[in-house]
Amino acid sequence: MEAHLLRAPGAPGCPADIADYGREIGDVLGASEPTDILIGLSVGAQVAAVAASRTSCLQRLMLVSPTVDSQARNVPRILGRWLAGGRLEPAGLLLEQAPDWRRAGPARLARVVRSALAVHIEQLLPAVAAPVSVVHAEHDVITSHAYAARLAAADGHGQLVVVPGATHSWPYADADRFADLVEGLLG
Amino acid sequence: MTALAPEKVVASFDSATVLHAGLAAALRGSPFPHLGHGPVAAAAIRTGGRLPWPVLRHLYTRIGAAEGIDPRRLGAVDLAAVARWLADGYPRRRYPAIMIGSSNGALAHLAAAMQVPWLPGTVLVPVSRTGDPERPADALGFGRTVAPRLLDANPDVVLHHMHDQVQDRLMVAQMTYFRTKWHTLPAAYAQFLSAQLAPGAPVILVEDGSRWPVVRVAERHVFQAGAQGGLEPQDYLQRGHTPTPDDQAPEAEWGADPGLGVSVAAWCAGHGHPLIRLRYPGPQAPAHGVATTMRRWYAARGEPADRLLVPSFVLGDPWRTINAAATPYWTFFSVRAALDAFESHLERSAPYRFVDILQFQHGVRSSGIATPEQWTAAARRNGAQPTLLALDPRRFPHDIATMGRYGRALADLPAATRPWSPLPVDEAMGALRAAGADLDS
Repeated sequence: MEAHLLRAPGAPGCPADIADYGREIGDVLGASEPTDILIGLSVGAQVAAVAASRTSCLQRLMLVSPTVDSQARNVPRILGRWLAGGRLEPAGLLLEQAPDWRRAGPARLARVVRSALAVHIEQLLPAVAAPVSVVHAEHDVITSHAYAARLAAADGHGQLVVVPGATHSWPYADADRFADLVEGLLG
Repeated sequence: MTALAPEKVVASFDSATVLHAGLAAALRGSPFPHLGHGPVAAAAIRTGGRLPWPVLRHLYTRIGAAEGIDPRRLGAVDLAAVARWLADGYPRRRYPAIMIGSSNGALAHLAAAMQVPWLPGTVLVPVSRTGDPERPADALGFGRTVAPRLLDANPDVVLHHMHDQVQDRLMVAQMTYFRTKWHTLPAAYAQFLSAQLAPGAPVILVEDGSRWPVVRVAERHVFQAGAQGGLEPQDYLQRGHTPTPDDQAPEAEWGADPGLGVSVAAWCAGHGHPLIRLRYPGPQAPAHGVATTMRRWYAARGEPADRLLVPSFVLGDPWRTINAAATPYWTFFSVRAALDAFESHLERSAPYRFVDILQFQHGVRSSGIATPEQWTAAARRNGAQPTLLALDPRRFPHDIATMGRYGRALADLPAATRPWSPLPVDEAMGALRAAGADLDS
């Protein structure tokens, strides 16, 4: 099985607009051999949902810590949650992400945030043909459990997965458990 | 008369309301520390808990008594609004089942594992009244006078006026317990079922068959001397100033009103949802089946499943329990009957390595009580290492501060290691049936 790591929205060479980036990926997937699983983390989940809504060549969609919670769709709220979440994440995560943000620059980062507020995953899921797994970390304070569970329940066939003891960006620090989870979902 | 706000109508220590709040927290993915009170109240409880018991007892009684509703305002109690408030407490999404009926802490944990809501069939309305706890007949007379205001304003409930001078001794000196049971499906519950049940999803009717001798005061009003716990009905009825019963009725706190069951069955038949009836003889009965079911669920995904957590009455947290992969064995009160059932569960189960025990503190060394030492001894006899969580056993049964400490203690339990998905409803029902539960669908 081949794995492809897609760059984060706003990274140099990638659209900063979540919807544009998702459409771009969806079109690529639609023109390719069937993909076993498309995984998005945080705003990447929004990109993945847009992409999945545009193709039938996808076997499974996995949304990890999907943003933006319907109860936090304005800049002050999402900023507040992001700051609260930052206090729970490992200190090294910020150092890992900072170079990417510096390369993207403030204007593109602002566009990522603005477009993230406009992309509502729950509105996209009815158009997603693939089964959906929504993965929620127990200590995620950016995305609420209620929102994750609502996404999983949206079409009656989704699956909610809770990761005990984990925070919003847990796959960065827990690659083994993340790999086990993906492997489990692929059967 | 202006209706009282729902949260002012029900007692903050009501088993149904607190178990409901704990489950609602679990469906929001939140812990349930200090019984849903804020951190300031929890700090006050922890600090106040250090006071000498005679001082603390006075405070405890005064604070509890402050919740009592002025009997002249019973006509302003709107239980339809309470039902709406309870239904609105759950996050809005399509659920794979909804439970409705009797209060039960074990089933609240199972509901959290299935990620389904439970709508209580009974709530406690505390009413201000100063009286001698040893004179239940006086309480009956008081209820006969003031209850018609409540019943006239709420035609869909039956009043089970309860007086337990043994276990609720501190409270019944300052208030009286009006436990109300819906005998038809409240409109707010029906709307919640319609809006939140997934297509074809079942309604699980929870029916505790507990019954108790009562004095029938009116068609929708009974009086119950005593309550489930450390004593049998005859132990209460032999005491002085106790009215002679002339009927039997569902037990005030735990028992199911048959009218609600009929109404729920009719709703299911009319709306194309399957009905699952879960019947059991008393509040302690489901705990073994729930523990067995949840332990298997943990083990199936590779957890060691060697930690047993013993929630007590309203003291517990389904969300933290599940995320620690701790098997819950809920006990309805710290009494001998619950202790015996707990030990029976240990004897019938593969050995646990750890047993973490919570103990609700009702402030009275009442007849039939089971002490912390008896709980830990039972765990040791069965090869487990017991821990009394958030409890100073020297203060038992007065260590009120445990209510402000148990959240921290549960947060400190080691987290589960494996990701989990909600326990499928059909799998849970099948496992309960295999563990001996009476399920009819």
